[in-house]
Amino acid sequence: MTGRLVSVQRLCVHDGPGIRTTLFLKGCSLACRWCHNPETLSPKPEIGFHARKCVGCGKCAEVCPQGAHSFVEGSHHFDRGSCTACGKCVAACLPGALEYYGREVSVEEAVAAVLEDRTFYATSGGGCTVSGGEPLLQAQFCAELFRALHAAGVHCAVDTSGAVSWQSFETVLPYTDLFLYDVKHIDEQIHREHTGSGNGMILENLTRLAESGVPIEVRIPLIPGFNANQESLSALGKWLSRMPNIARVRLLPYHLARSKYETVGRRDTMPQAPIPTPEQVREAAAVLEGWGLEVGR
Amino acid sequence: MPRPFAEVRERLERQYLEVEFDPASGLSKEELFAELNRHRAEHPEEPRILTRAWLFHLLCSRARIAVDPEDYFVDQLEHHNLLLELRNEWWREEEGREFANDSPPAPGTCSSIVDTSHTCPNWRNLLRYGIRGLRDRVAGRPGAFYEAVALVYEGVLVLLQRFEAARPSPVLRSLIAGPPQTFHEALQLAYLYHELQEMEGEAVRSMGRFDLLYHPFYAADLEADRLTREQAKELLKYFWIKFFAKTQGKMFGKPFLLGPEVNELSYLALEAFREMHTTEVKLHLRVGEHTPPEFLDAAAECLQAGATSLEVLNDRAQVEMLCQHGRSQKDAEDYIIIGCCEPAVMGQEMNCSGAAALNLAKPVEMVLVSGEYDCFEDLRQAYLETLGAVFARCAEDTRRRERLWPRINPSPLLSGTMDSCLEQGRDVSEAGAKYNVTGCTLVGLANAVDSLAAIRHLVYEERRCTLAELRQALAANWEGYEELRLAALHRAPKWGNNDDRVDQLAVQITDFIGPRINREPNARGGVFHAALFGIIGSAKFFGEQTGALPDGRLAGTPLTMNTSATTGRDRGGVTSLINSVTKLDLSQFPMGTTLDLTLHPSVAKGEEGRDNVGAIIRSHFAQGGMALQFNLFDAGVLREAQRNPEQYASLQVRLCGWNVRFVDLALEEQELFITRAEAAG
Ligand code: SF4
Ligand code: SF4
Repeated sequence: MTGRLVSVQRLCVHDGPGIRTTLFLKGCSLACRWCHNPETLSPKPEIGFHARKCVGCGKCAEVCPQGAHSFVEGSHHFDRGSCTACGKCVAACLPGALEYYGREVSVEEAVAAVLEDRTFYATSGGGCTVSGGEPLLQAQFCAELFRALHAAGVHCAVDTSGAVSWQSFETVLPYTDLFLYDVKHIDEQIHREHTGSGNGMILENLTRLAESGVPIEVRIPLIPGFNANQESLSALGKWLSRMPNIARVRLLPYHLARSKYETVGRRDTMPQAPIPTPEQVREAAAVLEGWGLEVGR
Repeated sequence: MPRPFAEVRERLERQYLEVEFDPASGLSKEELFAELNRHRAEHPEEPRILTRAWLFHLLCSRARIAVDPEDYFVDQLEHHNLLLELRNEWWREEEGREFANDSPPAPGTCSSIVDTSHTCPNWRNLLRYGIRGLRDRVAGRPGAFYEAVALVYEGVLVLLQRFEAARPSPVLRSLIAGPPQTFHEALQLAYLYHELQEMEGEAVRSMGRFDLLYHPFYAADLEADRLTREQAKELLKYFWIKFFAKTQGKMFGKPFLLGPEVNELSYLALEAFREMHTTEVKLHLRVGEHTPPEFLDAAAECLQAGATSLEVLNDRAQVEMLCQHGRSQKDAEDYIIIGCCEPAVMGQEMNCSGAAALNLAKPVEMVLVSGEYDCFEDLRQAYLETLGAVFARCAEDTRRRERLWPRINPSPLLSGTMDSCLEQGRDVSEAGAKYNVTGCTLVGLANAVDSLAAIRHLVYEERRCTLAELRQALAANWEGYEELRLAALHRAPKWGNNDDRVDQLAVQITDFIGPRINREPNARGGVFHAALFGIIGSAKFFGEQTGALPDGRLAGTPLTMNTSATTGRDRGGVTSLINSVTKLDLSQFPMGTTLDLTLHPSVAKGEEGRDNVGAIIRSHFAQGGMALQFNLFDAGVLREAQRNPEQYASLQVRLCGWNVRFVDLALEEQELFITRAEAAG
């Protein structure tokens, strides 16, 4: 069993309790305009190009079987359309201007990588989180990873958008200690406009998950021009207030990651609005607290 | 009556800059000098310890003094560094004679000095006996040593009387009469003693176990309603600011130790430290099994507030290590840190930690120029042999210097505090202390490990180049070999990423050189002690004398310090760095070792962040780490500080063993911190 990974990040302190290692899995079922991990959106492996680090040595062009790298008047052109993600150019690029997103790793490899930091989980009450992207698109991989980690006594969390079949949840449920569950908007239409999908499945899955009794932390990305207003938040708060087993709600003020879009050759869809001020975050929290929810910061 | 600390802080920080000594209070420099010359002419055969004691007494009784009515303490004596000048004269003379016909060791391989500057007097005896009591312990005993000790303590009594006459005070009267009775008196004594020992010529590199030593005074004062907690904190701030005032933040930080058993004063000290935000007091915190978690929390709060001039110590591991290396259990438990991270038994040890230093990277250069190797194993073996030979030479030079010490810097004031010196009638310079060890610090661990790993990768595994080509590239300082250098920098594996193949090279180097150093005799009846830390001075000095290295480093740039990874190369982050470092058997480094961690402030923010810091510390300890110190900042803030230094005057960074203000660093040094911060973010 293998999974497709974008990266392994250590000493993560915002992906659940304590000190954690977070695996970012490739592929997502939504396409949120504010996404700050655009390299995880596509389920297929792809090549990131950090133009700032390119020294123009031409090695990539030399090794690419598809001729995807070319130099027009000294400026590097990367034709993603013809790239098959074979990874040859990444291996040849010494300055690290090219990066491979979507490495295939075995469960054993992933388990070993996570267990390296087990002392830190033990002293901090931390563990492992799978994130992405939408990790539950690779639910079987997550389940096997978690089963092995559980056997080693490691706390396991899933950071999910909820936009996957209930069956995927069932696959990981026996080995999951905590769900970090993104809820973005209560209005189906607005949700669709900004994420590419409606929210029906997301809300339904959350309802079922809440009934299962597993602890859930709901996460609300705070996005200006989308949900960062009294009305949207209040509607969300009202809906959430009826759910059992919600340990807390956490607000994630959106932050900029524009250069990452360039790196993977995607059109930058991030909002043009300024990032929320601490004052706006406090106000948003107050709205949710008004519905009796505990809001973590 | 002194005013609130916060109001007068700026003035206190300048207290030593323009002191007005009353000419009527004593002799000028020329007059003092004339007195000294007359004395030396009249006593040509006098043992040097007595000449120094005589001069010490002269300065105490005849040099000019000043008192500041708005300070809680008096300490201003215009001694013109005459004792240091006399020492330096003898030093030049003795070294010149001893090494006249020597060729120095190969440049950049090692260094050795007479280290009189890593000392910790027996604070317990000072507080228990007071100045008068210490004088009385030796009064009337025959021999130059006892005479010298009696003379210097007599001098201190005279000085106290002069201060008292200039500014009558019950504190001084009490100290003239006997041992200190109150918190205020104890601090006055400690500071004055500190000043006088440094005047004698031995830097005080530990102010002792602060909470343990001073709590009885503090508690008795509170009990008797003589002092409030707030007043005690004011006193402490007035006391601590002096260390900054003296050096203007340009020195190493004055070490004070807290823990592992804590009391009210431990917390008060952390609170004052956090509020003061000073670089020039350095706190070492012994954290053991019985240290309450609240204490670690309070320490983490200091870090959060930017008061990062502190280091946490794995108490159990440190004590076990000291026992392994010759200290009794009881003495080991009474350790302090002398200087950066060198554990030593409080008041019973002359550990001379700065005496010898080895450049771990230089032998890589040496084996590369000297030969061909069929396989990496042969090269690695040659490296270790060369390193061993470098140390043998270094040890011999160091011993020869140590033998000069009694003729350069006999130290009766310091020796007078130590029981063992008094029992044997021997000065610390003649091995009078109970424990006499000699430090040998190892600089450039990451450079050496990364360079060996790079050679293995580039030449023997990937075969990107031959050894001869690599040699050429290094001789050209990588010029014209950019591609190879990129491969060295980005493809060869690096120390500090929990990559076992590289880390094992570090294990092999340390397993080889640590024990080798620790069994080598010094010239004072003890042994050398290996240290896995390097101060910035030696990292720069050795770096200047080291050519380009296979790890991609350019010629002349500073080497790495402590157990750190090469700046910016620990891509795996803090946890991987800790996992790498704790693979080493750190108990082979009884002269100390430390690890610098750079954390992004978001990791340490709020209550959860405080817990995260605690968890990192505990994880490091659980894996056998010895000591940790922190930098907490993000790259953006450092850039901003670079642009607007005035607005960031108080921003501190950790520099190997002590803190400095970021804005005081040279541009290139600032850049190193920014690179580290970027990696942490
Ligand atoms: S190999 Fe890397 S550095 Fe060289 S041209 Fe290609 S992308 Fe740029
Ligand atoms: S990954 Fe393979 S196909 Fe794609 S650009 Fe690189 S070398 Fe060419």
